[in-house]
Amino acid sequence: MFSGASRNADLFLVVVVVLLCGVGVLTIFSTLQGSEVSMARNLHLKQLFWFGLGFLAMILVAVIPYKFYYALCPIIYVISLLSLVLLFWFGSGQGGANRWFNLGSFYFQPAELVKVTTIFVLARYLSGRKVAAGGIKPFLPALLLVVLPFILIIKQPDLGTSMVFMAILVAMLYHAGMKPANLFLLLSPAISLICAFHLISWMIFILVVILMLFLSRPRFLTTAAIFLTNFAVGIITPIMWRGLHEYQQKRILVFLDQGRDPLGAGYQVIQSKVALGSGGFLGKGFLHGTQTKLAFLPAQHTDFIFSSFGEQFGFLGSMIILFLFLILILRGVKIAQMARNKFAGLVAQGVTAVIFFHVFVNVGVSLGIMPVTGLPLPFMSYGGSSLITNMILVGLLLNVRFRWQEY
Amino acid sequence: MISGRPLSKRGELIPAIVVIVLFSVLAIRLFDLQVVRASDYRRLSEENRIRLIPVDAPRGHILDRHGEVLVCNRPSYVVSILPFMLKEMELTIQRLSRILNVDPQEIVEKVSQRRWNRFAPVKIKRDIDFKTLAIIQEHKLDLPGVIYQVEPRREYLQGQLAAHLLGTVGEISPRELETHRGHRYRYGSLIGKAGLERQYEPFLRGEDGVQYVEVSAVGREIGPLADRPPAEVKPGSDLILTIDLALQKVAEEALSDTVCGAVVAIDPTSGEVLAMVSRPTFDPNLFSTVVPESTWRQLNEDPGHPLLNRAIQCSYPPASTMKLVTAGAGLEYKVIGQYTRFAPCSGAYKYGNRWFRCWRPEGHGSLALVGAVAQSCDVYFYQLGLKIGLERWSEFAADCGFGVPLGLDLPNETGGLIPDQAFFDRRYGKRKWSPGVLLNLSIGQGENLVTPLQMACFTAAIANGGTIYRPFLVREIRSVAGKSLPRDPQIVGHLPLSADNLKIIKRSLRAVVGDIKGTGRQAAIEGVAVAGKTGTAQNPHGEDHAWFIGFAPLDDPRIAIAVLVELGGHGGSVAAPIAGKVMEAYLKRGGL
Repeated sequence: MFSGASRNADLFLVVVVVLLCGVGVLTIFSTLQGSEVSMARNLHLKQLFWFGLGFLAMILVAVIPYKFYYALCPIIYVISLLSLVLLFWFGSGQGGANRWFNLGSFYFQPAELVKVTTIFVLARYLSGRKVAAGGIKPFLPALLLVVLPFILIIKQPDLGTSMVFMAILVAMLYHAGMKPANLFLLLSPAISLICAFHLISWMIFILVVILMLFLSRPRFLTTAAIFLTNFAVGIITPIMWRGLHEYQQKRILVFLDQGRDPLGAGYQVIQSKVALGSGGFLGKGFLHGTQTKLAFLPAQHTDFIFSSFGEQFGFLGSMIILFLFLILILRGVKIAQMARNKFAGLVAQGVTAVIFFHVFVNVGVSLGIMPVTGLPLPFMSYGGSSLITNMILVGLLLNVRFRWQEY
Repeated sequence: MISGRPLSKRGELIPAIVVIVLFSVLAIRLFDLQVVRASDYRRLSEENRIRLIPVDAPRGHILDRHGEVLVCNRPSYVVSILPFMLKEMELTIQRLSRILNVDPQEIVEKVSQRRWNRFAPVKIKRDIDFKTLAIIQEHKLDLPGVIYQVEPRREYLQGQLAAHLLGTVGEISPRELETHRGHRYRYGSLIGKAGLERQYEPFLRGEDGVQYVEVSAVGREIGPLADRPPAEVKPGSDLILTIDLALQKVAEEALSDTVCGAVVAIDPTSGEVLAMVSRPTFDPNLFSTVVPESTWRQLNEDPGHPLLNRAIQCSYPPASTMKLVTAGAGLEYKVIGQYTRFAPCSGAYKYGNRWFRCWRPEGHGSLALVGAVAQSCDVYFYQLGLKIGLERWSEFAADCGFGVPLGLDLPNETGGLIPDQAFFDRRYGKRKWSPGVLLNLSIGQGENLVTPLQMACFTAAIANGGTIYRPFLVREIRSVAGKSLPRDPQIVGHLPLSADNLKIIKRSLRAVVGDIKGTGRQAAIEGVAVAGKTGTAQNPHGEDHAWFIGFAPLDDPRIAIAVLVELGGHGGSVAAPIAGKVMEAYLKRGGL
């Protein structure tokens, strides 16, 4: 193993990440140009500091053998969940949302940490021998491990971050060997919930479920449970929905997609599209983004940083960023497959899913094709908790890659 | 190189394909925005030509039970500032403040509050008259960035009528804005501040719309933005009240403007509140927009506290009306039968070394229950109370619905107070108080406190055979789309009285109004069997408070009522006639 050390250290991955962080710092700098007040906040320098810390964390995480994480993960999983619970009493945040711990000079967002611990604990569970068969059975305990943080975070309320956990679950169950058909069946109640608002699409969906059940033929009880759950969800949802008053319905819709609030995020989405579109093919040039400068985008250095970048560097620049992310994610997929140790492979898969979900949803929001959920863009959006967590995730990828031959 | 993996052998193909396909979606959309439609967006971005124009949703109307409109909206003009168009800020604000007669500092504050969105108008003064509007129109060129818009304004058609229960609206405060974040409120939004307007705010409010408009470089509107359709205005839902406007009018007139007090009339078969009056009152139209400082001060410093809803927010000693509770407890605990007599009343009763007086100095002689209630003999009830005991008495009173709020659909309902042993221990220390407090409690004096609403509900429960309904004011919420949320009566509890004992109580109540010696004869209505009870609460601060509770007709009750007049004097001569007038008006019209 030591002979191949230099070959097994994935320097290419590190270069991609450093590039993305660098572009992020520059873009944050450009968003501060609007006024002296925001210049004085020196957010780009702070982000640089977080990057330094994150880089150290990345190396530290990469160097420690993953067997160590395997041993410790149940404890840190519980601790991280407790920190989420404590948020309800000691948390701070804006507009009724309790997402952060105020630690004097900076804020810490425990939901970020929980992503990492959930990946660990799920990987440990799914790598156990009894689960290896890949049937439907291991699903319920795995679901429980993910649903706990999901519920605690959705109550904060932070829909976007909680959905990340669903992405982790799907990706890791797949990697653990579950058949795509079974994966579909297990997630079908959630899809049924969405389809239930449109009768014809729901009926088509139910037919698909029946077909899949027929083809994959799980045990009778499982079949009945899946079918009945789908059916019940499809019938009850519209009835409950109609029982709500219009204002209550609206509140739920705005929770699912903040872009529906035309005075708040809805306006941001328009401005984001204008920023990107007006950038054109080559962009307006660094520090020449008018949308950015005039501060039309309230969250331009955090959730909407991609639009800010796209305005200044155009289609070409945006495609380069997307390409860098694509390389990073495909690399993650590859590392997950390479690893001979099952736990390590699962961790890499979970990490990749988190990064991919964030990138896809964040860019999708900026482009106006996804509901506004408030997820940051990895490595680029301003924010210490998010940046350091993402660096730790990359550290895990490096870790697995470094020891891929180990069993 | 990857041989010997124990894991799935499906390779990385499927995840990689999923990732690449989804990234392609992003790339195609990016191409569409940044290459295909780039020129459209570039035009929009120059000078930022998108303007967001909020359109206020009209609040829902409030109607009485027969569909008479009590509260609606009318169009009014509001003068606003568009911060980004504001040139020569100080000078313009100076000019505007002179025309509108508003403190320039106030305008500056309002504009700077909204710094983050310079493209949305900031409302400066609402409901301006045509003369001011004409002046602004005339000086348009000297007032860059000043615009006027039309907005719906709340109008209370009946003026002061039912002001306390209808409530008021006003501009949202920064604190309310913080707690309602995300629910489409913004600076200058109207929000219910009191009464039904506050209680049913989420239903009444509706949903503001937004127009996205493209404007030219000099700020003239070109037309709606093609990129995103406007968000439609959704008017708020209407409230259909249980209140009967005609009856409310009678009650308002019956309770003179010059006194403090309250009238509550309830349908005993459902708990629907038919009329609710509190005096002194105010005109909710004053609050429709921004309340001038002087009005505020006047209303707040008025010694009569006109903003207080005396029917639910104030509690009073119930006086002799509470004797019904004592009588009920006596019958139910079998301390007395309906013919039991105590030592005759000689105008006072000696307990320990203290004399407790009867209201009638010459005394009532020997009385059984019906007579004691009809003539409201204090000495009878002193003796009855002592036999019941404090613990049993207060438990019984609590079971009758006293001591806790009844859950009327209005904010800030108080529960009054029914003292028990623990209460006296806390107040005076263990064993440091005399059991003599019970003598005062059993005639409704001393520490116990009730609201007129509680009294009305108690009376309604006696009338309907023992069911305590939760009182309510809104019987239906009707959305503009025609969706309706009707409300069914809810039962809070049952009077702890058997049917036979309830009959005895009813008979004694009938005697109060119908008997030649009864104290409540002035509530009588010709041709109708009215039942009731008077009360005269001793008040250490001045004249007595006058109470009357009652219902009619005796056998098929359709209305129950409680009347309280602060410092009114004797219940039989002050409160009873008011109750009589209101009940008569209701029954004469068929009682629906």
